[in-house]
Amino acid sequence: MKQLIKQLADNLMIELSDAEVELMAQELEGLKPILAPLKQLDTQGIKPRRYPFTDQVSELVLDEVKEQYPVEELLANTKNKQADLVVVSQVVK
Amino acid sequence: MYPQIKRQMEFIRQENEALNAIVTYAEIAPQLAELDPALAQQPFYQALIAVKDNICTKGLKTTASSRLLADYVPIYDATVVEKLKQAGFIIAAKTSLDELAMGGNNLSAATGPVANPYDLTRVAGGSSGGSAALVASGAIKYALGSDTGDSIRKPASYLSIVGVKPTYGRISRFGVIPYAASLDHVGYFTRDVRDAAKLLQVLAGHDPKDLTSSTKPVEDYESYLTNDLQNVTFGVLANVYELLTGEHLAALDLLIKQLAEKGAIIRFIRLKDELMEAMLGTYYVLANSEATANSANLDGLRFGLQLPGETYQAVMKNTRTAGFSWAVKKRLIFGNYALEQAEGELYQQALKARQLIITEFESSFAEIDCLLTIGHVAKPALIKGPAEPVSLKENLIIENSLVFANLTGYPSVTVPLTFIEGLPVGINLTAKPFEEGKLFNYCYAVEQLVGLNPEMKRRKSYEL
Repeated sequence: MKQLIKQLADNLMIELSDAEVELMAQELEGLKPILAPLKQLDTQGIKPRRYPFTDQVSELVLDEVKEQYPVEELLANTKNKQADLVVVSQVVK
Repeated sequence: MYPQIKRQMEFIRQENEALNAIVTYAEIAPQLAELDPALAQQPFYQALIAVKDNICTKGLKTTASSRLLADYVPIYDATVVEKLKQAGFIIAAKTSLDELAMGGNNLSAATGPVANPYDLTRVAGGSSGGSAALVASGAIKYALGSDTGDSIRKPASYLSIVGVKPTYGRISRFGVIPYAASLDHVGYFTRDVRDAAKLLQVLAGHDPKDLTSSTKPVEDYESYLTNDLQNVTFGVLANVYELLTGEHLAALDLLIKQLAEKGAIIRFIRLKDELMEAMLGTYYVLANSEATANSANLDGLRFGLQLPGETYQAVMKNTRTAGFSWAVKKRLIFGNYALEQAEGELYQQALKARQLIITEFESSFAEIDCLLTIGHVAKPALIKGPAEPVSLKENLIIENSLVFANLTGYPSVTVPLTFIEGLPVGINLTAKPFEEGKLFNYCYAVEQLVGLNPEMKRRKSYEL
């Protein structure tokens, strides 16, 4: 279980200390009574329901030129930027 | 600045010293200067409102009470904020929440816990705790919140105010930092039902920027407030009712008797026990599975906190590890667990359970107009100290049953009911989808029967 928890956290780009892995194992154990009634439900033949209502329709967006935000505003919250781009460490080496 | 607004802002600051409800104060003078004088006849012209800090406000910090977004300043307003400004509202402050709205006690906010105005040693509830505490303190009349499980309706029950979660799709969520897209709702707090009806008219409406937004027309909700309950059928949620004892049972019984005397028809509605017991697990799986995707853009690269790292993956990992509190990490990891384990078996089971729950509510509402249940029984948690023991059954059936309205999308409102041992207890009412007008009338009738909270009447002396 501890290896699984580390892997799950790693997939989320979160690093856990050994103490946190232990805490998470306890957390999952503590959730068992809450999850048990869900697991016991007979759902055979039931279709999954993702949203409250099924009658919502996606709208098509017109293909038209619209005013966009200025680049400097879009990058205003970016810590590391250069020449209107977000700077990240080199990916291809 | 106008003297009365200045005095109210001073009062808000004074109240907040005890509550710790506010993350950021807004600048008032520029907003007053920008107000269109043509709005002067509008009911909310120059009215102050607080906004939960997961709702984007252009040029004003929006942190979602997370370290990761501690210095994030949006470049656009959420649709609801645009609507507030168009109605003449002045934003007074951004209010504290459980980090990223993930919680029910407001204990994980980066700025610390929010205190309950009725007992400063206890929580105000969450995740919209800051907004709820400010309205309950009497410092402000209106505050926006969001509700993914019961994050408006439970704090409203804790604090003797009106807490509104409308139908899914009734209010746009564009510009709201999401927790779980299929469960998140924008809603709000007021002190009375009339204000609640008036405010929905401002906030509701179709928004092409939110694809889950409804095209159903916005109504004159205030016009529904007739106080007439003749032939209205209330369904008392029997699964909860049967577990009530003492003063909680007595308060609900009195209300049921009063409603019947007003001409309402009372029925006891029993939902399948196995569905009631599975509701919290269903919610927890769906909310946190969706959260893993919804929070993926909090990567430390484009905005928010950024910690150094040799690779961009290391930047993301270092930032998210340091930026999220344990309350968020454990939910995200659980969500990932539900998605990954046995090829997502748990997640799929929750989606199917949601269908069963929705079908159960649809068939129950064929017999009733409004579902009635207690807002909470267990006292709000102590800020410091052990949680008070609650049995598993009480936890599943009473304390967390309000999540049904997020799973089904039905409109649901909590209004004040009574005080027990000096602390408020609310009553929750739920109606059919998009029947907010009728729902406000049912709430208004309850308000007329129960009477306005006497504490709030005293606090009205601060009103300007």
